Amino acid sequence: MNEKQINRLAGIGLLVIAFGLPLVVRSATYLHIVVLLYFYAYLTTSWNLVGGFAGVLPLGHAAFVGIGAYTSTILSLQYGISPWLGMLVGGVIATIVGVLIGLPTFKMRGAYFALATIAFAEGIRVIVENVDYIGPLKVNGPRGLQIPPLETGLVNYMFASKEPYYYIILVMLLLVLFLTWFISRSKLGYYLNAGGEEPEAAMALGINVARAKLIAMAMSSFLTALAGTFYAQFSLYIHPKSIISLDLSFEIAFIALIGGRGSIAGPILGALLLRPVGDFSRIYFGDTLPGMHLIIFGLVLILVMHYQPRGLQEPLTRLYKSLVARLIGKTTGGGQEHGIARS
Amino acid sequence: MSVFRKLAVPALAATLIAGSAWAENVKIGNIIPLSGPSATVGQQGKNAREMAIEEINAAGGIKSLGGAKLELVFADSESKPEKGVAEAERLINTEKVNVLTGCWNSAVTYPTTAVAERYGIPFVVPVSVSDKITDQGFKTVFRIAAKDSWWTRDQFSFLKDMQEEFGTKVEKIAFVYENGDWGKGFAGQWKELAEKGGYQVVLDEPYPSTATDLSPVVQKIKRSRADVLMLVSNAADAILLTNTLAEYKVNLKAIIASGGGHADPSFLKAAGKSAQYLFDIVEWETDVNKPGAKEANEKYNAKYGQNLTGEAVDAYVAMYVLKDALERAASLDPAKIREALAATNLSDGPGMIVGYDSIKFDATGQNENASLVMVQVNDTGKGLERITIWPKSARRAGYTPVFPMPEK
Repeated sequence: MNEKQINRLAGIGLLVIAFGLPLVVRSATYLHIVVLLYFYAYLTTSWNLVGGFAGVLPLGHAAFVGIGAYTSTILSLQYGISPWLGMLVGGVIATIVGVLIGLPTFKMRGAYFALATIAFAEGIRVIVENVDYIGPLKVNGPRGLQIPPLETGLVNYMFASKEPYYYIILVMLLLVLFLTWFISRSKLGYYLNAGGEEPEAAMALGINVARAKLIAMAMSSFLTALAGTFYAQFSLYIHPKSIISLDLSFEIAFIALIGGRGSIAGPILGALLLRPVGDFSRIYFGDTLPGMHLIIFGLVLILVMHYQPRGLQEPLTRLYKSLVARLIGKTTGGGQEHGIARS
Repeated sequence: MSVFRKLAVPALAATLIAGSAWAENVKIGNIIPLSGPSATVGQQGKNAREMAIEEINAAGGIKSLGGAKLELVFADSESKPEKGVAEAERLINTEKVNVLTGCWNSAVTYPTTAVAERYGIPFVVPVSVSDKITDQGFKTVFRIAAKDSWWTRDQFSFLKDMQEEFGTKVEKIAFVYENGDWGKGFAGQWKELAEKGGYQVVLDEPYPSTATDLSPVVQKIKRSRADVLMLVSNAADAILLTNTLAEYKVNLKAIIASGGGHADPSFLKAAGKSAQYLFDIVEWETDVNKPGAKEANEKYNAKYGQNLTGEAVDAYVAMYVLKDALERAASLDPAKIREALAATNLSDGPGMIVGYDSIKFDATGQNENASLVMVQVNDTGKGLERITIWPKSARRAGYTPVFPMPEK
């Protein structure tokens, strides 16, 4: 067995586990937590296209989640359009907004870019919070929109149990991971990488860095908006403070930073660590030590940033590779030292 | 983890051990904001519930269930709807609670009651004033507090009564409110009431509760030359607004607040003299004329170092409402508990310290008797205090309200 086969086997194994999980985890509570974990992994992977590969730090992605959620919800509540269709409309609107935000801000560097994206997202939140109607569309200000639990079923994007939501978000996550993998090996991926690390050098080589970043931003905002619709249909209630909030934008960035920006596995690892830390510490300390989960959350963040500034994906990849090497060593006998040396 | 909980709530542990030998405990899940921006009100709600449960368990628990003890399970919503929903799922599915209560923030209560409805678990809402909570057509939701259309209705009746009593005419009104769910809900109804009452609205100004400087808002109030200012504020902004109004020497005939931040125990301490003559509408005041109220307040104050507030009283009473319903249901079947709650008519007995006669739910699950009182902040020689003045039948003996406010 060689390294490639082992990788393939591990991949298939993970897929089997992911698809079989709801057969084992019967508790709606835990399935709910896992669905949100995938949701955040998906968001962070979408964010990663800009925040990871393009080397800038956008901190306003909640705006796109909000656009997606509000668009599909308003279309379905007021015009009876299926959220699946509304999801695509939301994605297109988010793409336009993303490009409009990107045009002026991508010229900024470092913290200025981050601050500008925060400002845009907060601006959108303040608008939504302070108007009840945008034209004929009812956004209902700070009160938010409640989706009445009508008929469940695939067309209405509404289900009585957690399993359908689980598989929808799982498939979305796998697709966005595949897209990321594809882009990272494409010309665009190399442009983004080059532009992110050494913009001057990249431009000197004739790469249109700004254009590459805009394309990444367009894709990222489109994909993020799709998750907004998912969230609206999953929780059946949206309001500005929960989905266009800075908290959400920051959490996406935290997950990426913890897991490892610019890597494919990073967002998944980050979500796998941070989400359960947040959820379980809230469950266990929520009533006796209120606020404890926030302290634990912060502590984990500090520790990881201090000891693994490039994120968890780095040591874990190393560990995985050495494991693979040892496996190869055992099955082929003599090649053991060779395998380790190569890793 | 369970060891942790028992250590932290020794009283609860005792009831757990004592109760387990006899009958199954009744598990009450409570989703309230224990961290985040509304943590102080959440804590008051937790204290009030714990005090009530201790009393009920010490008096023998639920007799029709073989002396079953009540057991509280708390979950932190952080004032976030999605956390509230997740916690409701967990409390129902994993903790297997028999009933739910919560969530103070209307934005959290709204989607969370939908979860309870789906599972058929009875949900008692002590306080969350938004009208829509009982307007959803849900069968399992029961609210003890008055809803916001009643609060605004009573504020305007109060204003009318005061004008008649003191012969002072009010024409121009200014609305200033926090720009959240709660403030916007109030403001919408104020506008309708002002139109009906023939008042002129000279200012309609929402502001963010997190603001650190409200002088632009106060300048607008001053320029509007309003006779009466009506407010909806959370804790920190209520203090800031009151102090800034005093600093700018804004002359008004009356300021009418809507509980919340203005009723918080920290408000009088921090605003002090600036808060004098303020009117505030609340559900309950410490000088309410009701047997047991004074004792309950003294006990609460000794335990937790502050007076009971309207919110805390509703939480406290909610436990007695549940106890009464469980006693009559004589079963842990959620459908039976729901039926018993719907038939509630609680008028006396321990814990009934609300200002009105009885608790009774209408078809939507709203407590139809919930009523409100207006208080004025003034100093009658014992320092600033909150004095009940309206309705007139409830007015503290010997006190004459100050209206209009003296010029500054």
